[in-house]
Order: sequence, then structure tokens, then C-alpha cells
Amino acid sequence: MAGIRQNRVIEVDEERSEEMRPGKVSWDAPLQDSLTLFLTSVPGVLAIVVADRNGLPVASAMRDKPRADLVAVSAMAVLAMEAGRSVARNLHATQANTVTIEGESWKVVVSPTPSGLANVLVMMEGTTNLGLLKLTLPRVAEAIERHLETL
Amino acid sequence: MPMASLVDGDVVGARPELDGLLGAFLGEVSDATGVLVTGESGNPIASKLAAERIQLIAASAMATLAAWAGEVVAANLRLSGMWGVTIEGPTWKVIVAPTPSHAAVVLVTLEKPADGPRVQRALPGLLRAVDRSLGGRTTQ
Repeated sequence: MAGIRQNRVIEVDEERSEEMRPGKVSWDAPLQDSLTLFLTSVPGVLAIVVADRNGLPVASAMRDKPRADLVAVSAMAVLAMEAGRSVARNLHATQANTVTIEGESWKVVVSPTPSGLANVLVMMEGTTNLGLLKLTLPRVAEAIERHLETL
Repeated sequence: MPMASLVDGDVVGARPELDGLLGAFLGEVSDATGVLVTGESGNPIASKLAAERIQLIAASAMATLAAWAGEVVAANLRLSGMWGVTIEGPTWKVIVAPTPSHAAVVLVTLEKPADGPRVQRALPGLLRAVDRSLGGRTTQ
């Protein structure tokens, strides 16, 4: 009996040390950690910004120092998303999932969280693996929504 | 739903020659289900889209707004050379791109999975041709 209890204590200690290990972050981690995890999980992603329904930035993570006015960027990106949704409403029955602003060597993807509570902006190099991004983006969007609901 | 044609004389700035360009583009890009040209003011000036007239006018204005907002995002991020905005749904895709002179915006509707490279090859030619048709203000 004592042996079993001792084994469980060791397991719990191992679980705790897993949690404490630096650099290991899950999607349930605080919002800033989730954004940083996303930034490091998808090669080529330069920045991720969370904007509320009004287009105001509420959180962000970037590879380099911000060079832009985030308020203007997020407001206009959310406007592009809303305009895109309106185009979709007028031409199709189904809802728009993402709006991508594209240049020759860069992309900015805007996607609403599942309930539309916020929008996620991802700035990336043109060579970014879009398949990996599309797999990861819904997870980070769900994580963002969970975090925002607790605020 | 019938194809709505806006080139019937009651749309300000309507240009019948654009109709031919749009028809040729749809023939070249088989995944494209429709194409619309919006003038500088956001009003539709030519269309090969299966939609009601009122929806075309609304979609046209919103497409112009999406393209403008995309350019402002790029300018604020100091990114040059925005070529277009892509709106994606579960089974469809809409590409909105300004012409080189910014005299018009072209909207293309596509079924997914669309042949991306074919669209990207054909679209710049259409954008230049639309510019030429609207007064030869195109840039190379």
C-alpha cells in the first residue's frame, strides 16, 4: 500500500516538474504564452495580434520589435474582415472563415474566433506553410476565446 | 439564378467592352464561377456573377472597402506590393484585387479547391486589360 502511494507521489512530482519545465507551454497557458507558442510553432509567422470586435488590439506577440501602429493595423484588418464577410453574405450562403491580405512576399491573415468574440491577425512571410497555419490557427483561436471569456 | 448583366446602360460608367474581357477570363479559368468589375466609386460597372442586382451592388461596395482596408493594413505595416485580398469560406473563395492604376477593383469568385496558380497567372492580365479598357491608365 505504502509502495503504491510512494509511486503516485513520484508520478505527481513528475507531472509537476513537467509543468514547471521552462519552455513547455500548452494551449491552455495564459494568453500571452499561447500567442508565443503559436509564433514559435509555425515557421515564417512574424507576428500575431488579437483584436476585439471593435478592432482594438488586446494582445500580441512578435518576432521583432513592433514597427507599426498596432491600433491602426488591427482596426483596418478587422474592417477588411467585416467587408469580406459582407461580400460573402451578398454572394454566398455560407460564412467567411478568413480574409487574407496578400503581397508578393508577405501575407496577413485575419480570422474570427469561433464565437466572433475577437479576431486573430497573423502576419507572415510569403513562404509560410499555409497548411500548417490552417491546422494551428483554429486551436489558437479557441484558446484565445477561452482566455477572453475568463476576463 | 440568371447571370446578372449590369452593362445595360443604366449603370453610370458601364463599358460593354468589359463584358468580353470577363467572358474570356471565365473561359480561361475554369474554376472561376463569376467575375465583377467595380469602378472607383465602388459601383459595379461589369459583371458575370450569378447574383441579384442589389446583392451585386452591395458586394461591389464591400469588395472595394476590403481592398482599400487591405492596402491600409499593408501601408501601416510598411509592406509594399499588395496585390489582393482573398476571402475564404468552407467551399468557396473570393479574390478581390485592384487594377494597377487603382481605377477599378476586380472580384473573382471561385469554387474550392481552385487551381491557384492558374488564377494567379490569369488575373494580372485581366487587371491590366480592365485598366486599358477604362482609359489606358494601366502600368506594366
